[in-house]
Amino acid sequence: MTDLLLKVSFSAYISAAFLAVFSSASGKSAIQRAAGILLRAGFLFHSGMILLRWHAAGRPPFASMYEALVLFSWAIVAVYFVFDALYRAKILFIPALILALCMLLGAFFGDSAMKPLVPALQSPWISIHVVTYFIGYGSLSVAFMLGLLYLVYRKQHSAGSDQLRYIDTLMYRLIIFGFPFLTIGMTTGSAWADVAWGTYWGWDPKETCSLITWLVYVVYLHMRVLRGWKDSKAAWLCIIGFLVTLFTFIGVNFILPGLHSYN
Amino acid sequence: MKNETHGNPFWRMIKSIRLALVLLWAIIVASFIGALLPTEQQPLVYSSLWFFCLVGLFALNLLTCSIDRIFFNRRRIGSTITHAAVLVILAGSLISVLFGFRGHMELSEGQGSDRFIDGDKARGLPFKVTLEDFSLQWYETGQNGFPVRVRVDDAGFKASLRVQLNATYPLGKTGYSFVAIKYLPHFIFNEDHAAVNVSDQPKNPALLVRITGPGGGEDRWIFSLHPDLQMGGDPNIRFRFDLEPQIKEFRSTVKVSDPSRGADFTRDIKVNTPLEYRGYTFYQSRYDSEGLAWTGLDVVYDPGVKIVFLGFILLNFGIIVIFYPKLKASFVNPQREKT
Repeated sequence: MTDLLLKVSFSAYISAAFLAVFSSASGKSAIQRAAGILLRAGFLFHSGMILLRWHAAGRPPFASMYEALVLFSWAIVAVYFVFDALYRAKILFIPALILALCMLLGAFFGDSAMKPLVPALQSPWISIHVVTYFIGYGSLSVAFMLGLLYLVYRKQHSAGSDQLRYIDTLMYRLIIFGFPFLTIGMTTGSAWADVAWGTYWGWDPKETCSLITWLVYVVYLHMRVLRGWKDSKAAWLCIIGFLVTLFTFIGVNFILPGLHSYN
Repeated sequence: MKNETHGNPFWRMIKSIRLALVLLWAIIVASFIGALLPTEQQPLVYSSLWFFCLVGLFALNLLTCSIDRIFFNRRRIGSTITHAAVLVILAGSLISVLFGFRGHMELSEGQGSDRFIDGDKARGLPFKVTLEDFSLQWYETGQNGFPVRVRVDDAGFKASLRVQLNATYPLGKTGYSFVAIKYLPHFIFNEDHAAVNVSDQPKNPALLVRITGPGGGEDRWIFSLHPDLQMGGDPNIRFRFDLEPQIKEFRSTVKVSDPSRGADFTRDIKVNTPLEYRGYTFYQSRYDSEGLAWTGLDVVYDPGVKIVFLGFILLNFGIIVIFYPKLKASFVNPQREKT
């Protein structure tokens, strides 16, 4: 049942993405509205799938790579809705959908078996730690797509053009939206580690990489606010930040063994 | 930080954002190098004097920058809280490093102790801890069926099933079918060569399948830990029992006796539920996987942890105060302007 729901939401997302591409090419607003409706429908099924899996597994569904990717894509779409509500930022529609679809594709390749939680993961901290982290990741990943878009537009527009300034501001807003979630995720993870193992910081590879990710965005924020970095340099830093994030999320599990190596 | 004209050149350098950024990059690179090292070599970075100095210099930079800000720029309250929070976290972890310690104690059932091992020395506790009981709980197996793979060679048939007890599973057009009729978590053969279960610990999970096939029928035991052991007559049909029993909970029931304070109580220690008493915290960390007769507890004394957590709260609060009001400011969307 959950597999079916996820496939339905994947189909809705992919149709929405095609419609959106088509509407931006043809300029028909009716098609864009249809894309928006499909996205909402897909999100509804996606949310339903997560809740249903939560119920079926009898535990928060945030423990395997499959579950993490499902949540990641959900968070990306959720962040899109937030930015749509705040700024009607339609420019994010396609980039956010591409990312969400990639994450879901990854999930389809993963093992969807509902495994019971090992004792260390049985804690109320799991929900707040994982969900806040993925909302942060969702936001920063969309910012990453905007960073790429910025570099593409930079070739066509002169520095300081309205379009570039808009993308840069949106990128900055995505990062300042996501960064507090990243901070909550990291500090709650630390608090949880203290409850489970008695070490709030143990330089586990996952911990270290999450700190590095956080520090890269600290550098970005200081550069932008204090040094006025708003050009391609900021876009590059934003791209690097997300690549580090991705390494923290996926790379560490495969390359550096530690307490977070779930599969 | 805008007031970079205050003070002498040394002060200006120490509190400068340039130094902060250089140090941040240095910490990022050093941390990454450490993460690439094998676990046992990681202290070469994280516990080294130079890494300590790097973080210390960063703390000094933050401190001077924050002092500067408090005296010269009172308006940025969120930023001040955030930077102060980082200092609180670093101060708390310094206290952890200087005054905290951790060790280990192993207790057999009925055994009490007021000491634990920290590296190669014993440390005393101001009270006594006695293990009353250690127990292990497994997730119920077979709730969603038992995972079984079956293969019929001459028909080239393969299937992966979740098998319920006493349900019949026909195997395609092979002419075979089977029923799982019994599950034993801890299978042994007794002296009379009969299959018996000796405990509810899944030490040797075994499933008895009743096969019906073209050549008649047979009962066959299949074992998850011994996949190649199939005591059956018909070599044409093979089974794999893929059960992986998983531990649900470790529980050490301990009694704390502290005559000096008149305290005497019993508590359960589980993973994620440590026991805290008089500044010492006891964590479930190891156990006797053979006889379940002893438990291993980590003992932690860490006066810095509460300060670190205070820093975490301040950090989250400060960062939200800095950034979320900024989300409200409107800005121009050139595309919407056009339409």
